[in-house]
This record gives sequence, structure tokens and C-alpha cells, in this order.
Amino acid sequence: MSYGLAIEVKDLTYVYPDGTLALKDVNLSVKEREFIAFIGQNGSGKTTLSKNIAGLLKPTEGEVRIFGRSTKDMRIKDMATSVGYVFQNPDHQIFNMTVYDEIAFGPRNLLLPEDEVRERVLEASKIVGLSEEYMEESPFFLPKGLRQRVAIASILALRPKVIIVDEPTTGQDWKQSIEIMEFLKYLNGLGHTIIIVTHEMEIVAKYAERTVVMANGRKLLDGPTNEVFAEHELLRKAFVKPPQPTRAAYALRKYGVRQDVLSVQELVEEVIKSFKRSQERRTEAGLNTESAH
Amino acid sequence: MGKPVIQVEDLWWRYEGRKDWALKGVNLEVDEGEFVGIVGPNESGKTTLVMSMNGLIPNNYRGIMKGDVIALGMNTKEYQTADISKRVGFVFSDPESQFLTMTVEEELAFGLENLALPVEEIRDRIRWAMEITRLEEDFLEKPPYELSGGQKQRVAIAAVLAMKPDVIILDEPTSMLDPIGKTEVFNVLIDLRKNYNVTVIVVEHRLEDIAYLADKMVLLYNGEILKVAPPQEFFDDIPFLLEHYVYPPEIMIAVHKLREQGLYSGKIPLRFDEGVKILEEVVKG
Amino acid sequence: MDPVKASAPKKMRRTLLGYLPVESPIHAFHPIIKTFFLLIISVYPLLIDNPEWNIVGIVAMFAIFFLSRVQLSIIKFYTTIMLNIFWIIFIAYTFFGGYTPGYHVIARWGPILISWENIAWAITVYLKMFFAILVIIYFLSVSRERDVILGLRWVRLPYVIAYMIGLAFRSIGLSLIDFNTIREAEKARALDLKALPLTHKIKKFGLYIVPLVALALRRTEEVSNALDSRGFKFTGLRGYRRTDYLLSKYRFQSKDAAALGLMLAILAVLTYFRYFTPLLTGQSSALLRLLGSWMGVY
Repeated sequence: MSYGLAIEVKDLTYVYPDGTLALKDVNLSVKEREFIAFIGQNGSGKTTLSKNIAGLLKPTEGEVRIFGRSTKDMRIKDMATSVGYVFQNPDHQIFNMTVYDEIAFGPRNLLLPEDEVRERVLEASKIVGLSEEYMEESPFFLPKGLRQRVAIASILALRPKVIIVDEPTTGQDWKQSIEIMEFLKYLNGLGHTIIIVTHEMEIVAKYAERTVVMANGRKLLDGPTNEVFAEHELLRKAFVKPPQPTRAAYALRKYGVRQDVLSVQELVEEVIKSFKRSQERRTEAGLNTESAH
Repeated sequence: MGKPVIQVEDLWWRYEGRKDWALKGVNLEVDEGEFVGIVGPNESGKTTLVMSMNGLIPNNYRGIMKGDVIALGMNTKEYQTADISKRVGFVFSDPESQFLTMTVEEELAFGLENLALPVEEIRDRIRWAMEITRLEEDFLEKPPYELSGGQKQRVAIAAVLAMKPDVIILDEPTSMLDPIGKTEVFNVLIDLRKNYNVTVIVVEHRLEDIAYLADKMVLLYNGEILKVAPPQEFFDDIPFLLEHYVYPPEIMIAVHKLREQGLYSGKIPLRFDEGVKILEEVVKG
Repeated sequence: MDPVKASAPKKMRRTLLGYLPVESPIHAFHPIIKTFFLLIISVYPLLIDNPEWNIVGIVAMFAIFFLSRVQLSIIKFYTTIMLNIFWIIFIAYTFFGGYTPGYHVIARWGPILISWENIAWAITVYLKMFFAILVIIYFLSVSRERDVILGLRWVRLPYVIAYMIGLAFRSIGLSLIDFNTIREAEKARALDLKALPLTHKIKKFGLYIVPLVALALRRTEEVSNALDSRGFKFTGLRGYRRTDYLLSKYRFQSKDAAALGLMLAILAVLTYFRYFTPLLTGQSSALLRLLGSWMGVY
């Protein structure tokens, strides 16, 4: 399987208008259909990087290319239909009085004919699991989980190939977090490239194939999630704590436990394997001493 | 343990305009000096329960209440929230939402001015609260919203702490914070636990730290209390917690699985390091 | 956040309009002096018509800006705006200032008359305004919300009122942050305001209001909870006075009295000049006389 290049970030430097240097010489390329997590402390540059990719911020130096086109040359409409950005707080992204108008907002900004708008609204709401009965309700008075779905549906209606979600699980409990992540995984399966910006390492371990660690405006690590989490020393510098199973495996490294463990299941299997190895060694040792007698 | 400071007696609460009861016959007693952790999935009534302890419910919300809540001898139906709050402090989950002023100093002084304390006492208490929450002198002149998440929440805690309440309630104080912020806030809680005899009630999703800090854990589910127990007992039944959408620290799950397989027979570890030691013993064979 | 600063970090204190270095001499004064500065000095240009005197005021204001170490970018930004405003005023008064018999007409194009009196008036009004606006900008660039609240408490306004004004400041601050996020969120949904015709632009502007109001509503509940949880009562504290810790931190010293005295003395002198002498009138201006004779009026 080989997919085309979706995003290319070249020597990206970004300075905010107040003089804050938020990104310094960042390079990154993302293929279609990848599922990536951006992690790092607040102020590490992960949000600035994702906003540059979505074209909401334009590079101070260097460039960002989306499917080969520089974001500097792209109009707002081109950007919005290539990379969708879901903000953390649904309240910041709800502008209309009904759910239907809310989801239709993007397609209408593209000046599409109303029957195509309708088609897209229905398609997007079907994907996020919003039934028809909600269409005439006011999005403000829906519970937070549903508001987040409306926010995602209104991005999906623009049919972007890449979707960036800022802190999808903050303030959610475990069950809700799993639901929203399973949903992003489903979108990934439909062919969307997914980028999440998050602090929740268990979520990263469970869902992201690839992880980019940001620290002080620079890219510190980039690779398959299990390899990234095995870099304990570097991660400590970035104040990133890998999930507990990975840390436990690290503490047990002298017993030959595999170091790229991410889940509890893997950890338990590794511990049992090592246990069996010790047993065998002991039996062998036992046999040896016996035969020596 | 000391005498009860918060007594929740057969508490029922339904918000106006809702069909379901948010709390259904909750009974809970919190003793003086106790550290209580309240857990449960979202919408299970955790926030409603703690808001009933300083009178925000029923005084600031519309709805139907049955049963009683007695906070330090004050029945919440008979006293105003502002009066109960002088002895039962409340820290909200979103640090931004609870700031009332434009500098940290005003923020810390606000509650103390309401207590009508003498100026010198206010100065001393601000210094004292800043010490516990490890806030730097520099911050006093800054607007609170220019601080980092962890600093913001520490300002919020200091503002409540300075009022020297008998009970301090924290409603998911770390849920909006990044990992460093979470650690900063938990360090304050650890300090409170160790060095000050204040009753602490914390609602938390992240159980990694609460597990070894708490004297008592409470599982709230669908408006009912399903389990109240010391942490050791509380975390012993891992499948029960998972069934109710409470996700224990993964090291506990790992040890539990080994116990199921017959490779370990002791207690569930409350700290990560203890868990690693158990795994090490198993690996050694 | 711990952003990496591009420039060397200097200890700054946020103000209503930007940042002010901590070592600014203005901090040596009682915060109430800033409010007095605004209230007293902004009256000066109202009393002065004479352009030279207003120019003296403007120069003095620039000196005060520099002495107080207000960021140059702020001064530059507003000075540029003021220069643009000059043209608007100039055009408005010269071309559309109207005609009264006795005016010295300099040029005439159809119905439009250019008279010396209108030009002189444009210059006079502009310089008055420039002076007054500099005073306001100075106040905004050295004061914080806290200074305003201290001022209100100092004049013994009931704390509930002072407090409500403080809350209003806070919600404006929060709304500005929200506003930026909302703008980004709209861009992410393909709303391209630049590409729209003006009528659509105005219509779409209403879109900002919807989320801003919704957010404000949610915050109202949060704020009222937070107020109660810190023992605040709108009805006041029956039986005892609320402490004013904040105000107790500052002492009105002799240098504050001196500064206040100086400002009031100048005000008194100007008032005297205005009502008992022709010194501050436009007619007494040597500058206007010079300009007029150059245009051949006198």
C-alpha cells in the first residue's frame, strides 16, 4: 500500500505578531490516510503547527504544502476544503440557530446549490450519527458530546481530506473518549488523514500510528508511536510521560521485557513471557544441578 | 477519624426542565480531616453532589430537592451559599471560569475582603496561601489569564485556601490542564494531605494520584452511590470499576490480570512503583 | 504558556492598551494619579483654541510618553491614525464647512467655497483633538483595570458598583479572546469575508454575535457560582464593613499631592486665561495670523 503525500512542512518558522517565536525550522511530511498525534506541553508549538497546516496561520518563514500547493497561495475556500480543523471548545464554532444551518454553513460559503448543500448536510450528519430529529434544534442547548458531533459534522460537510482535531478528549470521561476516538478511527478508515493534538497519552498509545513530539517550538521526535514512547530520556526533557505500560516495561528492561509495549494487554503478555523464561531457566538450572549430583 | 463535617442524608435532586433525577437518594458522611475521592463517568451526578455541599444546590439552581445536606452544622436549605462558602471552599474545574478580577493579588484578596478581615491578616494569609500553592511573588501583579493552566488552577486553589475553610471541595481540578499542570495541582493536594488538617473532597477522572492520596473513595453512577470504601478495597474489584466506566490506572489492571492468571495473589498496588515491584517479582519467577 | 520570546524579555506589566515596563516612573505615583491625569488634563484642550498652545500641549504629551517609557509602537500607531484623521477633518471643514457672509473666500468651484475661516477652524479643531486623544491614549497605555477600580474605590463608590465595573472589564477581555478564536473557526468553515461584497460582510458580521452571546450566557452562570463560593453578597455584609485590602496597599504621598496640585494649578491658570483674557482664542494666534497673511487674507 502506498499513498500520496498529503502535507509537506518545510523549514517552517512561525512568529506571533507579539514577537513570540512559536515554531523554529519544523519539517514534517504526512501521507494520505495516516493517523497522527501531535503531543508536547502547552507552549511547545503543537497547536501553532496544526493551525499552520490548516492554513489558519501562514508561515513566517518556510512553507506548508497541502497536496502540493503552498498554503500561502491558497484561498480560504481551498484551505477549508483540504484541511478541516475542529476547535476544542464547540461553543467557539457554533454560529447558527439550527443544527441543519450549522452543518450547511460551510457548503453555503462554497456557494454550492441548495440541493447539494442538503445532500452534504445529510451525509455529514449520518456519518457522525446525528439523526433527523436534531436538525431543527438549536445547537447551543445540546449536551456537550452532541455539540462536538455537530462541530465535526460541519467540518465533514466541506469534505476535507485531512481532519485536525484539537484536544478531542479533554474534559470527557473514559467512555466518551473511547467513543469519540473510535469515531475518528472510523473516519480514518473512510480515507481521511487524521491529526489529533492531545495530552492524553493512553489515547495516543491506543489510536495513533505515528506520534510527533514537539518541545520549545521544535520537532523533538517523530515516528511510529511505540518507538517514540520508548525514547524515555528524550521524552522526559519534553515533560512527556509515556503511558504506564510503557513505563513499566522500561522499568523491567533488564529482564528482557520488550520495550515497545503500549497497552496493558501487551505488558501482561510480556510479563508472562518473561516469567516463563525465568521458569525454564530455573528448570534447566535445576536439571543441571541434579545431573551434576 | 473525627466528627462528621458534611452529612448528605437521602439527597434527591432534579434540575428544572429535566425528566431524570440527577441524584437519587444519596447518603454520604465526610469526617473531619478526611481526604475523599469521588469518581464516576460524566453525567453521573458528581458535580451536582459536590455543589450540594456548599449550598450552590439548592440555592443557585432551580430544581426539586428532597433530603438534607448539613455542612458543619448548617443545613444548606437554611443558609446562603455565600455564608456556607466561608467555611466550605469550592474550586471549579475550569480555572478561567472562576476568576473574578484582573490581577492575581485582587483574586487572592477577594474572598478575604468579603470576610472583612483586617488588612495585616489579609497580607499574611495571601503569603501563606501562595507558599502552599508555590506561587511566585511576581505573579501578584499579573492578570490571572496570562498564566499557564497549572498556575491558573493554583491561583484558584490559593484564593479558596486563603479563606481557611474547614472543608475544601475541588471539582475536577485537573481536567482542563496539561500533564505538567496536573502534576503541579496534585503536588499541592499532596502537601495539603500531609501538612494541613483540612478536609478535602476531590472529584477526579484521573485516578493515578488520587488512589494513594484518598482515605475514602466514592463511586457515583447514574445518580446513585454504588460503592464507598478505602482505596485498597475500592480498587480491589477492577472489573466492577470497568463495568461502570471508571478506568483505573493501567498498572492496576495489569496486576489484576496477573492475579486472574494465578501468577500473583496479593493486594492491588495503589502506586505505580508498587505495581512495578509486583511485576518484577512475577518476572523473576 | 512558556513562549520563547524573540526579543530580550523585559519585565512588563500589561495595561489596557499594551505593555508598560515595570520600571516606568509612573508606577512611583499612587494609581489614582492616572485617573486624575485623565480627568484634569483632558479638560485643557477644551479650554484652548489657540493652535500654538495646543501644539505645546501635544509636545508636552510626547515628552510624558517618553518619560513614562510607553512602547514606541503604541505612539507610532496612534500618531499615524491621528495624521490620517487630519485629512478627514481638513477636507470636511474646508470643503463642506459652509459659508457665512464676511468669510474670506480663497477659491470657489461651483457650489463649493473654500474660505480661510474654515481652514483656520479645521486646524484649530484638529490640534485640540490631537491633544485630547493623546491624553486618553496615555491613560490607556499606562493604566490597568485595577487602577480604574482603585480610583472608583478611592472615591468611596459602593464596592458592589466598583466590582461590577471590574467584571465588565474582565468579560470584555474574555470576549476579545473568544472573538479571535471564532474568527479562526469561521475561516476553517470556508467563510471568506474578504471575498464578500460589503452588504454580505455586514450581514455575516452578525454571526460573531451568536457565539459571543452564547459564551457570555454560559459564563454568567459560572461567574455567579464563583462569586457566591467566595462569600460575596450583592446585598452587602450586614453589620460589618468589607475590608479594602487593595486600596490599603497604596499611600497618597507628598509627591502625589504635588502632581495633583500642579495639574490643578495649570487647570486654574488656563480657566482664568480662557474666560478673562483673549490669550487662548484663535484670534490671538500668531501662527494663524502668519498662515493667513501667507494666503493673502490679512
